[in-house]
Amino acid sequence: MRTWILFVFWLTVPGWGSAQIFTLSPPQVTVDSVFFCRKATLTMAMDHPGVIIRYTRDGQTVTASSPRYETPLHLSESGTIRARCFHLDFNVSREVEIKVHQLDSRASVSIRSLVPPPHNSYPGTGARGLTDQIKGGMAFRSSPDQWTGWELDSVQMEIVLDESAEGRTLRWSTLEDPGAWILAPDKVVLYQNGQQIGGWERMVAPDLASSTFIFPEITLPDSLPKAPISVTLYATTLPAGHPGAGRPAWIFLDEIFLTTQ
Amino acid sequence: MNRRTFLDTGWKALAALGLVDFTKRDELIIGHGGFRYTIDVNWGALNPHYYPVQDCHEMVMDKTGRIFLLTNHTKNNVLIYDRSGKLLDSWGSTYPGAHGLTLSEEGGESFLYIADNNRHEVIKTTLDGREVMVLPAPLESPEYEQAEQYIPTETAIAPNGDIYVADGYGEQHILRYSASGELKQVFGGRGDGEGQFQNAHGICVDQRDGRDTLLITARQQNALKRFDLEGNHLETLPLPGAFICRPVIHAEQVYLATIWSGDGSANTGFVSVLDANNRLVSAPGGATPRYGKDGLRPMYQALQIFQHPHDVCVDQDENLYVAQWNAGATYPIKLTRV
Repeated sequence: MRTWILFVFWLTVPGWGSAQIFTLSPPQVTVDSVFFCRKATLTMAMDHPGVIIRYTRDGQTVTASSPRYETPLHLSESGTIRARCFHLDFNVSREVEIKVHQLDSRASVSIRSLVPPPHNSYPGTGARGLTDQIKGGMAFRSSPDQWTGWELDSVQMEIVLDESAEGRTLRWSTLEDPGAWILAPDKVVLYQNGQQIGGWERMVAPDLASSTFIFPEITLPDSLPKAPISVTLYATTLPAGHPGAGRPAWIFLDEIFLTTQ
Repeated sequence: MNRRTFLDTGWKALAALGLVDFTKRDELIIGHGGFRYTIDVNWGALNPHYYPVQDCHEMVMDKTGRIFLLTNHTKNNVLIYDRSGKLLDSWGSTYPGAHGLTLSEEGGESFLYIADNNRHEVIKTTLDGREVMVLPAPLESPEYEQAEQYIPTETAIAPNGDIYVADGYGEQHILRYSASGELKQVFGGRGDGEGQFQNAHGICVDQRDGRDTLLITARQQNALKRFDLEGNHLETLPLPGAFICRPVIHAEQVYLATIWSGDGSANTGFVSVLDANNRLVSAPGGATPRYGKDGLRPMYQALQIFQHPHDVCVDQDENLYVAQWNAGATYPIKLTRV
């Protein structure tokens, strides 16, 4: 009798009895503009029979009870969207995450200098490309104009903000691609007139198994003198377990921008 | 009732009640349209202590049905299997950058052409590994100043014996040699023009429409490019989202290992099958191919069956053997057509 019960259970549990259970790929998530002023439209896709996409809009982990994706999402504020694919016959996909940023259209960033200049292999389009509000892709080799890269201990830039930047949040769009020896900075520090006015440090160790975007952020003081700001980005050291352990990782920058939150 | 009778009765009872779909549960079928397959991830698996692989780059089948696998592991650069996955033989220890493998029938004898990334050479061998010719870096061409600029990835042999080499990891030229190894022509080159390449990774001679033309993958550009044998660009066949490695023609179809897809992220590969009209009709491991007014909708991976497919070998029953780059030193995966 016990054998019979186990036999029925084996047949009726989804996926059991298959020679091997494969894992779904994550959904294709695209947004018309990662950086937007008024609104952005986000779409998700996985064209495979029986797949259900579920998502969250608050950065929480996606579960089997999360909302099901049906139609494009219209976003009107900064946020983190996560999504996964579900199917009875396959393992749930890994989570894919996309952050969208509502820009402060009243404030602007201009870059006066980048010291030292970017590496010859990844010059991007210089200072202009870092403020063009166009997001570079995860596959940096496919959008080389959008990414500016350095292989150094630190990078300095001098930026100028207008008055309306006071109290706003300054953010950097950086790439983390451990396989390509690229990691987000370990630390970002702002100085103005010789005084430190803000800083950011990474709190999470790099995940050597996956690539992601990381957005260091610093909230600016409510009162900001009219003077250039010096920014220093310090490279993260490649950790133990990485082929380049002990060496500074590449810093890849895509954009510098201001948001209201 | 003995155990066998008990189990048989159980299956039949549940099937009659509609509770069990034997096909679905027993074996996953992937692919689309008329090109669907079951999966054998253990095909060709060997004891890596004795027969190790690093990257499994390319595979070809000879006229007796033996399958030749090329790996860049110098303990055994060439592993020879039968169709069941049984190892028959191995050879090769001097091809550290073993990458491209092409089979050519010449005067009743079969030869292999190995494109070696590290040696910056193409080596012609017999099927048992005896070297008969080496095509060194083409320093007689003004396009090349040093051997390191030349990183050949694939070779194709035209009916007149001319040898076409794709410099897919180097300067992106296609080099045309006579059968005896004399450099005759250089065309292509790096760029975004119609006749240029970003990663001219694979090449073959296409005779399906009665002409002899060259099909060359522009992998980073997600496209196949067709040239005549004189090096004139004829057409570009876009396959958006598909980073295709080399075209393999069998019957009326073109089979393409697709190493990455979507935005080019790691571990997003699948296999592409094009029909006689060069339309994508099946993508085992990938999303359903669909065409709209702008052509093929961008492709992406649907199931994590493959990591980085690098080549497809097709047997006489149209089963596929998929060799993978950077896949944890694993052996090829077989797809059996259903």
